[in-house]
Amino acid sequence: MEWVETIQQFNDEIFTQHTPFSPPSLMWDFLRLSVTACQAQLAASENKLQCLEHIHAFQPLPHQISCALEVIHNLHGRAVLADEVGLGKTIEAGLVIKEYQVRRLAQKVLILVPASLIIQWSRELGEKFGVSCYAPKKHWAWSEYDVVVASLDTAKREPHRSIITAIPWDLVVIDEAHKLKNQRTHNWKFVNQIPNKYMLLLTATPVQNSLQELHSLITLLKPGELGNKRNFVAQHLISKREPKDAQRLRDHVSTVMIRNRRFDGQVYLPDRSVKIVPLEFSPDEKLLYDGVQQFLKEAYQDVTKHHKSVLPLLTLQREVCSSPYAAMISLNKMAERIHTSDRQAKIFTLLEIAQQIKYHTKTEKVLELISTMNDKCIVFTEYRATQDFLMSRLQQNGIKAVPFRGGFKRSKKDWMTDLFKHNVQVLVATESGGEGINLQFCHYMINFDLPWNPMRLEQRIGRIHRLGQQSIVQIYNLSTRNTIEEHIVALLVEKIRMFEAVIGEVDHILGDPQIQKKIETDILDIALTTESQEELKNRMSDYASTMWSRYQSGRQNS
Amino acid sequence: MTSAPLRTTEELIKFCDHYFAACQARVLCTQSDYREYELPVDVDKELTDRPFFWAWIEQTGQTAPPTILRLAFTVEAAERENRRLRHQVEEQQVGMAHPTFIPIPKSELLTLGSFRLARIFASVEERGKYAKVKPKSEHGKAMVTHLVPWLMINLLISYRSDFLRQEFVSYGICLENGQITDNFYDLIKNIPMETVSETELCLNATLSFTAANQIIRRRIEQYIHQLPHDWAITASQHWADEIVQIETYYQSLAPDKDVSELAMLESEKQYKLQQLEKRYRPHIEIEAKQIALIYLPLHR
Repeated sequence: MEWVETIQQFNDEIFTQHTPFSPPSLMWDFLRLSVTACQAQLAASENKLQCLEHIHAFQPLPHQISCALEVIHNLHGRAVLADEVGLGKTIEAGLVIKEYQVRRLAQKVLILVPASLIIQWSRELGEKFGVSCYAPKKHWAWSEYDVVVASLDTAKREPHRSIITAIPWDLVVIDEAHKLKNQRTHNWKFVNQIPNKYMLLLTATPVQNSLQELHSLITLLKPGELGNKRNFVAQHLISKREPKDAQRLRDHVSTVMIRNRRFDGQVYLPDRSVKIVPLEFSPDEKLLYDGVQQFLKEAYQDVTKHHKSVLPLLTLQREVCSSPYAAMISLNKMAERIHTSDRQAKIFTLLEIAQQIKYHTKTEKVLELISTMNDKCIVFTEYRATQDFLMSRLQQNGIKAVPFRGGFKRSKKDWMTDLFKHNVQVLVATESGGEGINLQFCHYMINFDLPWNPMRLEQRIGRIHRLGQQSIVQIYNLSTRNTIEEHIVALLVEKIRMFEAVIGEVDHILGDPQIQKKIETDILDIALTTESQEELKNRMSDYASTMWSRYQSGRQNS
Repeated sequence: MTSAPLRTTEELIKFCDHYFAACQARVLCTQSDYREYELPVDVDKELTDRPFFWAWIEQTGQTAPPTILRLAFTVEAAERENRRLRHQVEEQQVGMAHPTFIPIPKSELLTLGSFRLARIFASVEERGKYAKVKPKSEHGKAMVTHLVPWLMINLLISYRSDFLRQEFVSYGICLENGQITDNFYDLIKNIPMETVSETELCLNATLSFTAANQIIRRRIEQYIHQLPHDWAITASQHWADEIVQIETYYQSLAPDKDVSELAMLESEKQYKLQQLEKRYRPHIEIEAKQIALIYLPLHR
């Protein structure tokens, strides 16, 4: 017994002159300090998160705290965390990890995430929670470090697999756990073999295709909780997607799963104010737009007749809404590819017109808006050419700005974010630059042009309108009259409530890339096969209604 | 229960000042919510995590420049001092004919949960395990009163199941008559003490340490026995329920399997049951944290 040994050691020590630390005269001081340290580290008896006293870098939100408490106290440390995207599942997992560490209930922690998220996880745990993690590159590292983050794909391969399944992990966290929806896969079998005392499975979509996926996840956490697969199907399901008694299943599942929704009212976000800024083309610009529109309509008929790709036309249609410079790139490319001299001549005329344009309505509007804001602002555009032009115009007007693109390395992205935070007023970003970067310190956003797809717009807005934002977010959408853009703005913004609902609740309906692509081509079809603005308006509004009802029926199914 | 210590900036500063004074570290700078300490080598080894560095220094017979800790206790202090440190370096560079690169020192934030504080805790736990003390005699005055030896044992009791609660208790036992006092540490913590020298040791003890230890042990067993144990009962209940669940589940899988698969299934089940035990088995751990021999005057 350890205690007896301690006494023996004390006995030895007290009667020898030797004391390990100098000076012996200060023994009592150290003993008193030791008592204070010991009392400071006591695991408190109250049911509260003790780790909150150890977190100083940020303030977790109420729903995150209550989620972590629920996991620890009622679900005994084994849970599916199924919050919707953007509510901070990582934070909730971080709180649970930290709490178990502070209470010294978990030392060895294994975090399995998609390879692309390893760095983000280690950062977040390090910066927000002061949990230092290691991403193993050598196989011995698994046992060497306390908290390791790795990808499921690496972990399940030898030699890692045998090492991992031999370590008695205290806590295993798996992000994107919907990869474990099938019990017959290697992923599932591997995870089922990892020793664990506590386990968290994170997924925004615990059920993608069938309710049996839920059974797979829960069987990892608590084998038998939902019976075996056959029992589960017999007892709970009418069909793959339909439960017999939804309430009973929900009650049952709530002993292992927590799901916060954006519209449950537990999650607070400041409002967003969306303003449409209507613009009128200058005569030059109008000439180009109408010319391109005419060209596109002819080309579209040709393309659909021969079943060729509409993608180049779609791109040009969207570019011409953004800026002449963006359109010129596509026009040049087309000119190289097309060999009929008649059409080539048309393109050259269009290029000629584009070059003549002196006054860029949108760009000047942006300059005007920024100068009245007096605050940080993000300008989003879809196109490099537009971005470059904007950057140079801002510079000419003495407004400090940095660019941001998807192609930047992580370090450069961080650097740009940092410059934007501390040194410059404006960030000019292309769409692809958006993901994974949080810019909550900024309250203004200008959409120079709009993506034709609500999911992407939501991702843009989500850069600043997300957890951690303290003020109202102002969003300006530039919309030029009598262009297809005007209707896109109407579709995306005036019916934004609908898309918020769609995106907020059922990411997987619009999150499906095939559906996203379909939206774009549908809109192109409408744009290029209508004759008048009136007709365009009606068809777009019909289209919005169909999407709405599609969403409604999708919601009833899920 | 009183609130846990070291939850405020003031407490943390006091704690650190006290610790570094006891370590005989030199204080280089004192600002509001900010301290700079120069570490003696032994403390340096305990507070900085670089065993290879020290091995190298010692084997090559070099001396390392002492580490300077720049501890900020609030974010504001950290930022303020970082600005000052940067400014200092820049001024130094201005004075130089050929400006060379000087690394800009940075302050570190010392809060509950920070790496450095964890190291300090580990250091005091090691250094503050044992003591042999008596009340400080007033200057020049010899202590005439008869001194009685007491053995103080401070214990950390951990109640473990799928959750953990801890309790800190302190007992003192008089080595002359075997009398036990609860909350002993709280009663004597404010008396200024000094270390007793070898020659004064263990005068009138009738009880050996081992015997005293036995008595305290029985006392703790009594104490724990009379506590409510609902936490353990609940955990056992959960444990039992989940055992049944696992047994039923694996039984229900069995009919479809052949012999080799059954063996696999059985070992998987055994391992799940082991996991379950690790998670739920309620038990109590007791660890002696500090032990001290304390001489007290007969009448307090």
